[in-house]
Amino acid sequence: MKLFKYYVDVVTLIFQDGSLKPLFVCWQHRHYRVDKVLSVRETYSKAGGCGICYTCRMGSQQRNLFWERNRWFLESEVYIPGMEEERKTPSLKGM
Amino acid sequence: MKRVIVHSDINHCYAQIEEMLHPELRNVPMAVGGSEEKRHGIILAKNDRAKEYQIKTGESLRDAKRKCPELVIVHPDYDAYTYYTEKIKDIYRKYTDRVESFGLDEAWIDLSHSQKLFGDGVELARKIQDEVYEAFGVTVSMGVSFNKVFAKLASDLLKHKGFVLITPEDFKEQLWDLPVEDLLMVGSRTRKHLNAMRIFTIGDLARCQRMVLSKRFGVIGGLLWDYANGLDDSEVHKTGYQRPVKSVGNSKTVVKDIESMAQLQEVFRVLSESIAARLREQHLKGRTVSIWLRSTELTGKGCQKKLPQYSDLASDILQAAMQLAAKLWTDECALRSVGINVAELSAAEVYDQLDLFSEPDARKKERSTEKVLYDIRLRYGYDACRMASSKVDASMNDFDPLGLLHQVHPIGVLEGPVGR
Repeated sequence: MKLFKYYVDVVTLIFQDGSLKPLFVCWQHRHYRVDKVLSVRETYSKAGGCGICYTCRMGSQQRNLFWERNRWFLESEVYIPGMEEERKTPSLKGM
Repeated sequence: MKRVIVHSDINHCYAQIEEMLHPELRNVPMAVGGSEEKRHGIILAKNDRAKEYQIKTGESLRDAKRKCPELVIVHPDYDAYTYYTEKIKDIYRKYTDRVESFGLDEAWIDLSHSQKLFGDGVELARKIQDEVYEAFGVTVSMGVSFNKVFAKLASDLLKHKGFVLITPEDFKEQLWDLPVEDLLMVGSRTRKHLNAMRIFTIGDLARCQRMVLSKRFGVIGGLLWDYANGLDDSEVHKTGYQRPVKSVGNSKTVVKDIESMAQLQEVFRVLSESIAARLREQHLKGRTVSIWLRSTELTGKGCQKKLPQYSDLASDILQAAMQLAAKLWTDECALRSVGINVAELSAAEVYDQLDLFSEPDARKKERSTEKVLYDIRLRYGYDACRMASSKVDASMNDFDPLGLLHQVHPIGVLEGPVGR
């Protein structure tokens, strides 16, 4: 199955030890609650890129959310034309 | 306790990281290369599909395109490469404090003492290899042995997550049939000399007498013999160890060919100013100046000379470089890339040697002038202060190795002298 990656805005809780917990994923003016983080591990995405992979349950769906360097992306089998990212260096916004 | 030294090498590093970030590149012939417009158009790394077309690292983009017209060229993203290779080394560092980098993509790892904590070193090496693949989707080939040289040799034997173990018992069978140039420190020149002595394999080298080699090659000869016999006992340096600087140099591939001495002088001026600034920054002075000229036919030559005294002045370096260039650059061929290198460095306090005929303070003044020039550029950007002669052909020297060209540092309100 081919996977695609989409950079998304995520409302994140940062614990005092520096670990992260994604709370809401914002996508096209709607936000989706992350009901449960099922697992956390360091791995790479078949859609490209690597980082810390949070496997999340969001409603009835299970999705992999990746923390890549300094931003989040969502792995999905759905292809949305025009939403894939052009090749450019990661933004340092908020660093 | 047995010594377990691992040498790990990320297989065609840049290409693999690009593939990891953009998996669609896996299915096409792809190479990482510079930009042809700026004339650093060579292949830095290529993937397996490109390898099928016999594309070689280091050849020009034009040649590569001729071999494979549909080759996809990706511009290098060094920021990502340094980030991910460092991250991979972080995995090594979880298991030992002895991780010595050898370039971006290679590292020696000493697991000898980690065996008490993590069990058998060879198994641990395998585990690290899997862990890197799991976390980054990048394959590393590993050579495991009892010394650094054999570990390096072993990691080159099998690509693609290769894993080669060389023990004190079987190194003769495994390594002695390999050509001698595979050994660390044997380059093309040494190989030629060795072949002339009828030494073609590592075994030949090991079987000949140590005395013969040290007579022919000096200290290096003995060292090579030790390497071939597995007697290398050098340590893997601890994390954070930095080799002392041996030389400071800069080079530049110019946007258009250098055709006259005056043009060369302008390029050399920028290079020597940058070298002098770097020397002063590290409190070093150098004594040998060497230059390197590469013509448009891509043949290169170089030569060096000694300065009368240790120096960190751009004017000294420039003068020496121009003298060398006048001697070396005799044919009509235009130059494409030039470089200056200052070696034989001294970190100790070296005083300026006075002489009878020049003003006593001349060198001191010269140094202050250069320092002021540097400070101005640091604060207001490189263009704030330039030689008038550099405007004659501005495209030629519109570069700055120190990266101050577009940089303007504001200085804080109270940073300057107040009421002194």
